[in-house]
Amino acid sequence: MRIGRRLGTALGLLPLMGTAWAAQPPPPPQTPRQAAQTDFTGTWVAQVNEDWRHRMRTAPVGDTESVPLNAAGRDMTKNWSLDADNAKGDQCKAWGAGGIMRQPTRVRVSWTDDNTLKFEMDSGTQTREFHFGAAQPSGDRTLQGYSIAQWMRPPPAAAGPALGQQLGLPGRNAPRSATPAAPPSNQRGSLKVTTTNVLPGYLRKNGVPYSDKAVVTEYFDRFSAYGSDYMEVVTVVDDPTYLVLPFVVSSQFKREADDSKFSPTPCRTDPPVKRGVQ
Amino acid sequence: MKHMKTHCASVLALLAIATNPGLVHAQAVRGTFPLMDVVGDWDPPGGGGFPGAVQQHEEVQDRGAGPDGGDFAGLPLNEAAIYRARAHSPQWLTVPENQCRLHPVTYQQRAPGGMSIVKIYDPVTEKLVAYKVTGNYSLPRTIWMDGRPHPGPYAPHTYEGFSTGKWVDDRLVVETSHIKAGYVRRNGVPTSDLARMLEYFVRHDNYITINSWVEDPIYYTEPLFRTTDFKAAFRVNTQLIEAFGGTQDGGPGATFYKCTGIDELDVAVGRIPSYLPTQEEDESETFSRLYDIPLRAAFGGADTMYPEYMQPLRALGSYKRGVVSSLFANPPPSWVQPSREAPVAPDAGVTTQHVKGKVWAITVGGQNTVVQVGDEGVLVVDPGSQEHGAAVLAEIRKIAGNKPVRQIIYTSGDASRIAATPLINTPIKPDGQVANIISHESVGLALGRARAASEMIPTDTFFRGERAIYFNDEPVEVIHTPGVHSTADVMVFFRESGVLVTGAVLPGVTYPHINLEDGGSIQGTVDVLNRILSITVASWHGQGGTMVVPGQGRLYDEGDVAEYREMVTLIRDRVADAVKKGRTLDQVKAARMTRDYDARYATASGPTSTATFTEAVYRSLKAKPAKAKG
Repeated sequence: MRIGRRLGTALGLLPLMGTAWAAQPPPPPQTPRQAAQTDFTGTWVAQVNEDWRHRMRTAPVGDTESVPLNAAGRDMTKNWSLDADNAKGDQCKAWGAGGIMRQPTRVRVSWTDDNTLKFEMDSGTQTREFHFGAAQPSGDRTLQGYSIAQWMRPPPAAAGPALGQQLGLPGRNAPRSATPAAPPSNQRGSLKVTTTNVLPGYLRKNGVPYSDKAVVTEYFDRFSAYGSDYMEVVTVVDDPTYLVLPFVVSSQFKREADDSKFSPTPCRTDPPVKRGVQ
Repeated sequence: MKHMKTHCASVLALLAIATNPGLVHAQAVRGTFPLMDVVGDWDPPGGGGFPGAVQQHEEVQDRGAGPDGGDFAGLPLNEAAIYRARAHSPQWLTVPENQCRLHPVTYQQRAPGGMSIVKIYDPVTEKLVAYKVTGNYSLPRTIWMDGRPHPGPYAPHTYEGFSTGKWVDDRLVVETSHIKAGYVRRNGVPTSDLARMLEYFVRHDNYITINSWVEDPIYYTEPLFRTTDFKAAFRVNTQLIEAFGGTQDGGPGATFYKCTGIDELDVAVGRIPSYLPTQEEDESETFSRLYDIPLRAAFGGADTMYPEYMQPLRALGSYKRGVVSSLFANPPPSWVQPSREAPVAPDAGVTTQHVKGKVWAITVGGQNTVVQVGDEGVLVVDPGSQEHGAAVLAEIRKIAGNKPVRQIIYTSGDASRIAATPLINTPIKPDGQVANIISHESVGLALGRARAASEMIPTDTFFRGERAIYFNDEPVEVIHTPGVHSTADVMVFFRESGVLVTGAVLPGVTYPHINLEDGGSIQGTVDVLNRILSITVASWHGQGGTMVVPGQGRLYDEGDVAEYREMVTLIRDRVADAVKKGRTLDQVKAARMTRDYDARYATASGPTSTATFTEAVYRSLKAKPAKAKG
């Protein structure tokens, strides 16, 4: 009986508690830059130790090894011609959002403003901008498309007060600071980037295609290992036009002390190798 | 009543969440929160079914049917690694000791198929003890989460290694040590037993990526960083095999059987298929030739994985035949190992570990003494050097209490193995007996000639192939093993315990000391190693089972002995080939045919230095017609 009374009282108080919490001044909002729990700024160099022959060389025409293409995609690859691309001014199709992180490249990362993280690639002289919290504007499709970014670990303010605080329970309910008590590590959370509005491009230099309907989802992380800093990006390309299922690869980068080796070069695809040289 | 209160609080909490729009919003934001566990069944990105599916989206040859010979491009290998990988033959898998080996942890995540990760909880405390990772044609792997330390420097190594993990924010960070020599790619790109690995397991939505760094001071000029992606397997797997793309009726995932090596080829026992340095055309050029990649680039090196290599790659042009020898005669700068700290720091400490059954190993200053303890007393194999005698005796007392030392066995007459005997061989109270000392007869003769202390003189010698005693309810075989280090060498096999003590014939941490003046030869060394392998029996996929205590260093098992035998055999075959072709000793030395093993096994000076070992191999092969390979 006593329990029933207590429960009734507590239930009666609940709307008031919710109102009380809503009435509290919200913690000051953080910009995405302030909320960043991983610092990607700096210069990174690709470590091409996977799929080397597809990335450092141009694989043979028709070589679609390990890409889950449909028949249309395979046909596109078989009929790919470097000369035709060059003639049309399409030299940079392998440097679009769906394929650029696989290029042997250096990446210079900086904040354009509090809401925009910029990735500059020296290979192909390409720039990608990752926009936080912004809706995708309508506009022309571009090689790099339009990228929306989010920290996968939400900023502390977004999580709201602790449950105990909301319930008004005694103890351990001190107001939560917008800034974590301990300084954040610079490599705690992943960065998720979703890119749409892309022009058709190549997953690989030898004309393995993705279409303008492709959605490129990327997850960036930073790690420390054996005295060096590394960045890794998982790239998931989902394309209803040429792929039977999402194409998933992950690419590795090592941090450099400065950008002295960052050297922009134009898009350049070497002629495809010929198989079976004797 | 207490339970009612708890329930009441839970109801309140749920209602508060449900009635508070702000909190609901916060939870919605948390819907993208990636702090999710790693448990579950995981498929390659292309799915779990083998037939016809594009399972792997990168490194498909390495992770699927198998890489081409010579595909080392983009790997930060030094000259030693490339030399060794280039010698690799696919027939290596026919060696009986290799047939049952599953992939080492340095390759595990790259193998075909998926994986299953489960949690192990302590049934009493209900705390997380470990994650268990199974799959990928590899041994089940335990990642300890309970804070236990890594084993000591002389503990056995396994193919799966010893892994500890901790959660750092939303990543599972795993450190692995004690890994057996293995590979990172199935075409022979090696890892040494000094390799270690760091991994970050990271989940993103329905994907998990394992970021791994393999650090190997013997073979890599910088850590090898690779990433492997899996996606959640949204299906119910009721058998382990189903998690790897197999079917319940025994599909291609059915690999986790009890395996026994068999004779696959009608070749001599101990033959190790390999490519010789003088073979210009071989398997290692497959990749280079097939994809028209210059061999220099195909063979790898750290420079080949960075963007600036595009320029020299273009300048190198196409594949050309016949450049292997010139490459190894003038290795590119990137193949040179940067100077680092010594891979193994000299250890002056004392380590005691239980090997198996009644047998213990005491390691002092890197040198091994073995003790068997039972109701009859203590048996000591190789009491050790005079310098270390007191430490060895102290360890014996910790293991055996006041039990008397009744048997001592010398595996050779080296002072470093037996000089501590007078400290250990003290009269047994109350009857004043001393220990029975067993050795090959030649040790007794030599000590007698040297007028050694009476407590050191063997009392029980033999000159035929074997001597056996029964002690502590266990047959103990003393096996004569001449042909390597001295005519006096013996091994000791504890039959019940399943422990073989090799003494100097298998030093473990250095090249073998081939003593030509006392009957040693490279062929004798190979024969003794093959004999060791005829005694050992692995318990599970090429490891465990019979344990081997080498003369120095960490504990071995069959897999380690097979690795050591492979090293000795490959060097024999290379030098034999050179002898057959009429090369002089200077030419053989200049060819540096041991370069893939020097950093691991060569000492700076003495009989196990590169120069002296190479000379011993050469001279012993030159002394009689070179034995044909195989």
